[in-house]
Amino acid sequence: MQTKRFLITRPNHDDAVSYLFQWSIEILKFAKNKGINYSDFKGSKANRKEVTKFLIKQDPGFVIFNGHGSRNIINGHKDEPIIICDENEHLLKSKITYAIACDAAAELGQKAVDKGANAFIRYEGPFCFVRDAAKECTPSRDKFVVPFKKFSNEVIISLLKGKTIKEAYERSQKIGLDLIKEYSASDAIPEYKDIRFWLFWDKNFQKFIGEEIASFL
Amino acid sequence: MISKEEEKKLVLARLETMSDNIKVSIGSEGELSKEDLIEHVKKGDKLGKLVIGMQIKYLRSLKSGL
Repeated sequence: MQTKRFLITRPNHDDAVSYLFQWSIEILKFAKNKGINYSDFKGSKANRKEVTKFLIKQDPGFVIFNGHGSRNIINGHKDEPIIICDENEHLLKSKITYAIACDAAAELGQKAVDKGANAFIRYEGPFCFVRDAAKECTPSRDKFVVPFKKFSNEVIISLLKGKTIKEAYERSQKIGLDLIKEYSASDAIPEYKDIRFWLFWDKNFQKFIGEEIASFL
Repeated sequence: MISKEEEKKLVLARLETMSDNIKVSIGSEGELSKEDLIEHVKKGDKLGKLVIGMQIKYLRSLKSGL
């Protein structure tokens, strides 16, 4: 029986995924405050063996993959493939999946939905964000990543609030647009013009497929 | 309608104005600087073409009010 619990992978083996690792802390706090159960596969726990075992035994209704990927693979810790097209995408059957991993939908997402996944929200190109070059060692203090975090996290927050996948997608898209406009209001900070282009990039590549009315709660 | 070559020049000019204080994390490509992005666009590789395409799309969106 499917549980009202979500699974989240949080590898942190390189700079990029370390940022996603940090962003997710806000999600986990939100879930805890709402009394929503989750299983956090962080660091080396974000591996194929452990994630697979959990997906089969616990059958979570919502799965969040942070990590690198490609058109047909979602990776975990040290880029170990966790979900591979034509091999184990059936593990996502009856679930909502959000993959913050590059390109993971063109092929994998569609196949997962074909094999019974409720919905799959992902990026059809590389997921990007702007970083302050001087804050490499302290990602939590990097203000330039804030709008990208808000944009991506909105998908998850919306689903944890009981919204449908379509609503979560639309809310994230709206936040993306609002942020682009917010960062257009002034060029006093030169980095803002770069931020708004790369927000546009992520907003453009974010897509969902599957059942529009699918929801987690 | 501008040519592919003109699109490339336009995007390169825009990338030249990119801030030196930032890096862009681009999926599995890693953290790229302004110079890295310019190099990809000049080479015309997969990422370079993607950057050109998205920059042009972005400019068109700005023109039509996003």
